[in-house]
Amino acid sequence: MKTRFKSNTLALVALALTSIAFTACEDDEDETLIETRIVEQATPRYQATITMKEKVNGADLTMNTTNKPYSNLRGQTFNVSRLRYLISDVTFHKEDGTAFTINDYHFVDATDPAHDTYMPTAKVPAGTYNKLSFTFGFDMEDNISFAYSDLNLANWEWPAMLGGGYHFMQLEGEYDSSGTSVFFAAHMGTARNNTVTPTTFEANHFEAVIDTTITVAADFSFALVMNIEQWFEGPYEWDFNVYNASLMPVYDAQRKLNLNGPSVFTYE
Amino acid sequence: MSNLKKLKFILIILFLASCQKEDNSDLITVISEDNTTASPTPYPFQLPAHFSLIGAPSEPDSNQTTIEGVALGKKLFFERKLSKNNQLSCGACHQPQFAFNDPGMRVSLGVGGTPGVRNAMPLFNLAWTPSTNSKFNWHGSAESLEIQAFEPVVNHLEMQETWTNVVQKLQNDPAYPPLFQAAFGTSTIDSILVVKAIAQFERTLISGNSRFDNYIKSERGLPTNGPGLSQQELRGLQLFIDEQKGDCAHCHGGPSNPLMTDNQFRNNGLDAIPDSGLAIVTKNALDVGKFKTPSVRNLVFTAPYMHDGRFNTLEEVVNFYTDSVKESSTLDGFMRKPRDLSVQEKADLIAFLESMTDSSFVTNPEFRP
Repeated sequence: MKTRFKSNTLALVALALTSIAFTACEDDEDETLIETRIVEQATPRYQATITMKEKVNGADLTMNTTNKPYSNLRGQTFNVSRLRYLISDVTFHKEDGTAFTINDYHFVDATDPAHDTYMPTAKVPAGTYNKLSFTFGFDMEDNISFAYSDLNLANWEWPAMLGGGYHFMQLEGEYDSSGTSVFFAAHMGTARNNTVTPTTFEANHFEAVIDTTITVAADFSFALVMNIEQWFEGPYEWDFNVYNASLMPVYDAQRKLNLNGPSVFTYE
Repeated sequence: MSNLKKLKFILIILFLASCQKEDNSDLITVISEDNTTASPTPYPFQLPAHFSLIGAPSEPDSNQTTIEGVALGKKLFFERKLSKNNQLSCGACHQPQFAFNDPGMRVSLGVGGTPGVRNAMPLFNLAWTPSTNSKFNWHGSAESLEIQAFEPVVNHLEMQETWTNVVQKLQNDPAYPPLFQAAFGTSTIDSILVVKAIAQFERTLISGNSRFDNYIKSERGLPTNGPGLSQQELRGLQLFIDEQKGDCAHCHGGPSNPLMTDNQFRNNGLDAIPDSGLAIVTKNALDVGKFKTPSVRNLVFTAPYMHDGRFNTLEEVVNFYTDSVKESSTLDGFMRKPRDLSVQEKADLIAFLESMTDSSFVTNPEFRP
């Protein structure tokens, strides 16, 4: 009995020491994990999966056609041979005015299926949101020259002489000009205004806002649709004969893309 | 054992057990060394500081670059036994002193002087390719560097050998089995291991030490290896980037991408009836006339230019883009618009192109046999 008691005491001491020993060797990562778990228990977070789609007048975009299957409001027919674009800072808004922003970006090359799906790095807190928004391109805070290696590798930089940072979009194709195929390249980025002295560089991103109710109670998915015809419909009715290629340094063209952009995206 | 001794013993075990993460890793190393089955050593890529702009080199999981693999790959790259008559190596058409291009040939010559159909491509900075478009060769016939290395050995215009013969010749050479053992853990040679080793060596061919690189580094606040760009070269850089002038950057990149290529395939308008190009591989009529955008680095070493070596000088190249682009159905949009450059602007542009000359690359003893 006496021996057994001693043995039990020894076991208890050993158990206590085990706890001390393990506690002593816990690293910071574990502590962070515990804290994260506590937060998550308070507000569960769920993974968003965003599908990026491109359409023209409601039909899926068909690229690299030998004909010109699309038409703008001026009756100018066109096709699309290249479409690359960038979105960032997807934000979920609540009715009470609070919002959750994913500080992240997603680059899309419409010819590359690997870019169709955007899995943001941050999960979204559970809740009901009544509005979704995102930045087309980068805002001034994020539009930092040389900052993103994947975009550098994609030749996505916007020239320093035009204000630097990155492209927001490259939309290219051909339109019909009195029976002749003419190249157009709607490249968008910082707007250089050299009609004033000194030259100014104006932020040219815009906020796409979509009014829709999203209830986040599990991992969820939705699609963002770029309706390409909207770039050319309004408020400015695009005239390809005025604005076609080499538009990066053309201030008016940059501002008109910005003007037409907010109505381009819809939610599915 | 007394209770006190038992307690001490438990105490020691507990502390050993609770902090064993590092001990285990050491143990694994020791065991590995004892059994003399040490893994090959990961290759420490020495990257120019500004290459952080494009991230780390990309290596396939199935062929991580190692010191032993690179050493073997270099030996194989310059190994003449890869050809039918034991006279040609990869290095015959890809010579280090010409930025791994051939010495001024319009098209390369295979075994017995057989002319090929393409200008040899220079080899450098091959470890950075788009994740979903990593095709190699002028017409995109190889999905990876490893696959690329298979073809020249058996091509009837190039080395004209069989892989069976190559493997036999290498296996019979006493120098090779130990090198394969060190690199891949087996002394039994096969073609897959041969191309893996060659690809590893090719990924180490990094060129990023020109005056243009000094300019980029200087702009980024990084230490340079010498002077940057002259005033004329700076003017050339602006023409290179300006969409309303040279507009070279949309395909060849600007100061944020030291590769100076987009690694894409385009029809740049050389012919009204173009060579099939990428369409040979894709069987897609929309790809007719498309060839891989070459890097514009090291051009002083790599004349003549274009996939068929039709232009001997950079002046001819620039004059082609301003005056002689041919219309065809697959012509790239960027080639459809006029490029107006004055004589002075052309000279400035060429001066900038020549500023991307990396002499240290073509003299690097690490890349010599």
